[in-house]
Amino acid sequence: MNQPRSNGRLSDGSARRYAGLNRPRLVLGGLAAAASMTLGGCGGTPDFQDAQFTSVSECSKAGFPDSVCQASYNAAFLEHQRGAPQFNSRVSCEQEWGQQHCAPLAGTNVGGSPSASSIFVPMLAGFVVSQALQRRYYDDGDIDIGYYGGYGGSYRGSPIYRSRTGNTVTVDRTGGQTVSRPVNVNTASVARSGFGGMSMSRGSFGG
Amino acid sequence: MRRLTLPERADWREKARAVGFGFHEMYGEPYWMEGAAYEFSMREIEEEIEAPSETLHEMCMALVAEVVEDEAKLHRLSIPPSRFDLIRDSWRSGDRHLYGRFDLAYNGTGPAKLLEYNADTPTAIFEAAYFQHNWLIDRIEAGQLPEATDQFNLLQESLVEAFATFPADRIFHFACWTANDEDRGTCAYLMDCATQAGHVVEMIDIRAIGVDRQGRFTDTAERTIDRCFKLYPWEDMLREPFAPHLRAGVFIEPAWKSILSNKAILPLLWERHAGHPNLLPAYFADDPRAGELSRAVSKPVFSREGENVTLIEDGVPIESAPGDYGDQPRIVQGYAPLFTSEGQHAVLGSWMIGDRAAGLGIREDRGRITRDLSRFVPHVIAA
Repeated sequence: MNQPRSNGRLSDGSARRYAGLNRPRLVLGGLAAAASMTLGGCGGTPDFQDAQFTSVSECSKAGFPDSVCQASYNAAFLEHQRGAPQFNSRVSCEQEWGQQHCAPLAGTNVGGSPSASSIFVPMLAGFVVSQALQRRYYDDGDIDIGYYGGYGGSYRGSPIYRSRTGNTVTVDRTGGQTVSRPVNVNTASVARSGFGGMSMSRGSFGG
Repeated sequence: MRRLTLPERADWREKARAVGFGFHEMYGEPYWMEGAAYEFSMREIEEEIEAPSETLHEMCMALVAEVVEDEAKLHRLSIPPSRFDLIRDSWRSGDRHLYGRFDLAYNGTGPAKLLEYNADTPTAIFEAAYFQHNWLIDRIEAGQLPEATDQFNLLQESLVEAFATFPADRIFHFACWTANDEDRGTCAYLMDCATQAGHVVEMIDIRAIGVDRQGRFTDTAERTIDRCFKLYPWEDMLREPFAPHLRAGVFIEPAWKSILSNKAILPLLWERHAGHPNLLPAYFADDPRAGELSRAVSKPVFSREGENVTLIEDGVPIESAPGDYGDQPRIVQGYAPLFTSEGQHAVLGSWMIGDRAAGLGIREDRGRITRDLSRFVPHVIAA
């Protein structure tokens, strides 16, 4: 569709080509040859990756130290209070984030009478256990919850929200714009092998 | 179009092994076959293969748009009613598709005829996109083919481009039946293309997929699966225990492709475009007109690799292939002779990457029904 087709000629009159002529051999990105992929290396410092959880208990169950989980949650909560996307009504918040996904920001007045100070924000749905915090724990042997998850600490947590479509996202603010990015949250499976059964006898599916 | 014989590269097996092309032999038989090559003219490629493939794809997309709005048709396509909403959601929300392969009968005279559309789980992409291309460059450099020899092959760059249209904002999982060399190899190659487009990728066996309490799919590291290529048939996924957890926006190919990977589209296309030069007459098996085709092929709606396909002459079965798909609804399609040379029957695999015709791969078989023992033979466009 992109190329005009007239007797193998392009619009400038030169011969149309698909491959061939001075085209180099294709290269692979390095994955295909190593179809069995292995994680990380051995020895040295472990390869830390961000992990995402919806609760401190899920985080602990996944094997992270309690102090790392609690500090990450506290820091995410603080960051949420400080920087969650704000709306001046539940309706406007829910328009952006979906039904049942919004709550008044803790500490603002939403009592019996409507108040100008009422602020609504998307509900905190989880938090990121950052690479940096894991590395700090690895280096120091523990985490000072008061510092990393407390007021006055310089460490910024990463809250996770649930978008209107139900996906989990983190929120960045760049130049006044709120940009939400999906994350693969860590979770706990309750069942496996729900796919693959019908084709067990066949052994391959391509065609 | 003609079939050439050429000397093989002395070291092609080492080259295959070096890039993980372990299935260059299958079932103890050679699968990659470079002792021959099919040659086309530029006109044949442009006018008889590339342009018709894009036309066929447009007809197929129009058919999907129609069928998703028509429950009777969804029934006719054997889609479980409990999954109608999933199919509709995935189409209406514009779930992107990646690739598909038209199998065409073409012998250099008259228009190419659509045999079927492998729109859901096509394989033979690595050998068409990568190995075939490097074979051409090697043969030109060795002086076995003229310098200006070309090939209908924009596949790898088109795949990388297509992957780049998905935001690289989360893990791109690739699910397949990892015990099968060909399926795992196909997945690994597509992962490689996705990596070149900036994605973080992870392979998972189709049976290892889990669900969490909220019904989200999970990988073996207990992370949610938010975007996942799967080399596993939709018609099975729609019926397996996790089917109720399926939702739009996660899997590639998307759920609406289950309409196109179904051979019931062949009679539906013929009904809408009867007489189109690139279509063969086709009817549901219970349609009286099916019996009026003097030479015909009867195919189960979900068969792969030629399984349970039967050739019929004047109502009498003359050749059939065994398989696992015998108990399914069938369609009957007019017979189109394949290109035949040296006792080999050639089927053209014309690849769509996204909505663009992007390349060609040819498989040949001793029998008239192309099966899993067919061999992949490279092609060239004459200088």
